[in-house]
Amino acid sequence: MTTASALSAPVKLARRGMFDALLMLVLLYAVYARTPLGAIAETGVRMVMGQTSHPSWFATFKGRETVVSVSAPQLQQAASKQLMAPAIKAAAQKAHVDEEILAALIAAHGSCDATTCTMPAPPNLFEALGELGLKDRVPIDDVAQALAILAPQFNHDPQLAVEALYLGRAPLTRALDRARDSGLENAADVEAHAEFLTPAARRGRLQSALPVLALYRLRSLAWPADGAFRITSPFGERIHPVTGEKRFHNGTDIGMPTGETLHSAHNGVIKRASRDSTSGNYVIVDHGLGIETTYCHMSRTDVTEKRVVTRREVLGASGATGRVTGPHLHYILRINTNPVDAEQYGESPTRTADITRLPTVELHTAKEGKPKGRSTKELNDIVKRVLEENARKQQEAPTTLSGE
Amino acid sequence: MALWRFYNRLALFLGSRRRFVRRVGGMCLVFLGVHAAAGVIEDAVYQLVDVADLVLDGLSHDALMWFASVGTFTPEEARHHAERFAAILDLAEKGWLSLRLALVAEVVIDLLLLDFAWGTRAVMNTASIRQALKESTQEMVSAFKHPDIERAAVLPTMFLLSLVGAVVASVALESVVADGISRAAPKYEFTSLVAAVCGLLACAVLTWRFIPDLLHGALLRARQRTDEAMAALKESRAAQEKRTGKPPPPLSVVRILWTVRARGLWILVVALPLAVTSLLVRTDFLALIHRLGADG
Repeated sequence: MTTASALSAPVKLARRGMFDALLMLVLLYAVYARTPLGAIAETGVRMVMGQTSHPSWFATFKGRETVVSVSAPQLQQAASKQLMAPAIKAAAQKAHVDEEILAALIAAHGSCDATTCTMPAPPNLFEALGELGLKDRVPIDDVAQALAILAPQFNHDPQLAVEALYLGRAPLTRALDRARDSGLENAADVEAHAEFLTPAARRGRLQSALPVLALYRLRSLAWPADGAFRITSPFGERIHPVTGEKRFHNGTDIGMPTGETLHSAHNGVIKRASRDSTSGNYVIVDHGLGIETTYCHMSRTDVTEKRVVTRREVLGASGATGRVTGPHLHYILRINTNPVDAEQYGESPTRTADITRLPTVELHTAKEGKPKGRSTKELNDIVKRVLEENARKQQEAPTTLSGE
Repeated sequence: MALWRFYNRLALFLGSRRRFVRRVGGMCLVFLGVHAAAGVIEDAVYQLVDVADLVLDGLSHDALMWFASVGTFTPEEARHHAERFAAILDLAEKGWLSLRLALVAEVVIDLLLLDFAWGTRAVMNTASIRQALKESTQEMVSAFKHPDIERAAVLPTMFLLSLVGAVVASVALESVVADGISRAAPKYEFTSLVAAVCGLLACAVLTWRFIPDLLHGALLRARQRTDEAMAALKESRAAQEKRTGKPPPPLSVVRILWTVRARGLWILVVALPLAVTSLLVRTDFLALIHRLGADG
């Protein structure tokens, strides 16, 4: 106290200036790290330094903090048929954990040979197992065991257990608590609680967990309609039914009568629920990590924007709104804004039927009102035939899997 | 000893530049506050794009069908063209466009508020804090005389945006403190409490150190802008008188209102609602207070 009062007025003011300068530096860092102005400034600096790469200007927008870049081979792994590597299946059965999450872990970080699957040890693996481990690479059984220990602490949510493997229990629990305190309905989803992690954790260890979570979500996407409805126009190049031009079809058309229930493919937030002249009534669900599904031509939408939906929750009903030639669902799956073939992921009838592709059937090209194409019986026959062929092939030569 | 001398010199230098430091700090708080409402901006932009697209597609479809009815096109061609036009802005393009427009809108709002955030400072007698406060209050009161829309809206807007900025920064600091404690002392029971206290303290300190200066500077700058606008108006009238050789007719009330008093309408219509929304969406500050009751 004596020392402080002995200080002259200019020195006291100077000390205050020092304090303000420190606060200003913290704020400048916050602007740099948390606003697009920071990314724009960094781009400018990099351009001056002759660098061509630059940070994303949109990374700090809501919902884009956790967008993950998934490589093409990883996507291929996620899209591959649900034939699970025996090592993964065995590990999942032994530890009583979801085999899909183990498959996603291996697809993201590991590899398999004929007998075993291994991956680099996640940072908190040995902590979870209560061991003092020093191994760099571990078998999938160890990871399965750690997940089995962690999952009950996180409401048996396999995704949270994976996050805990990479982030550690304490930081994740704290972020979850803070997200829940903040009234976030979907606090358990990484895209909701990520902003409550420290910047270091968010930019560091979480980045290793994100591809796993993205691949897991892709593998566990529900099919939006009853699997009995036929795919009338698949993803890819096709002749447009209205314009007659050859054009890229960015989604999958599922032929179904008006009024059939449509479900959300996974947990998510309703990003848009609106109307468009081409797509009719549509709903876009943001499933986080750059995964989005769109449901078009709906006769009605039962959800509103910003609402949190769960997997298989009803979004509305199928219809023929917008520019269509008949009632159907135009279903789009996007990964980091790029449309991908939804038939190749999750529980699509094509994938679960374990066939590479159902034959293309043009349902809504019919102008006379009567659907053209193959009948259900014909399709069932095809599916049956392909399944029989697959089963025969497997019996003849047992599949050796790598990565899964 | 040399280090101590260096520290003292640096402290003195920063002390002599503290007005600059506070201006930069206040500006950062405003930028953080604007970005807190980025999601709202994006949604609003998307709605606009969506409606515009729907209307344009409908109009183009009707127009092409009319051309088809008068024989310019066949109905098939008209449908084809309408479909092609509608496909220019599909759902993905709308999302892409609205995100970019939202970014542009955010940067434009930042730039428009920059002038107020930087503010104007009068040289004040800082011999005592009481004297400084007195002078500051007198300046603000006199700056608020004959208020216009800009001066009426700029204070609540800047206050709310900077407050949200302080909240964002304090919540971020809380995460860092909590993480640091849990790394240094994993078994410590009161990590959440200590971190929450640090967060709240940070919010209070940021508010105390930067917001009063920011508001003061913004109001004075708004007053200065009004005076400049009035001077420009007078100058243009003088120039008109010089050109025509006769005194211009007296200014109508409407012209005065439109040219001078209605300035800053965008702050009232755009920035203030945005600031209110940006505060309302930050529920994490209430959660921060709630965590004061946490036990670890």
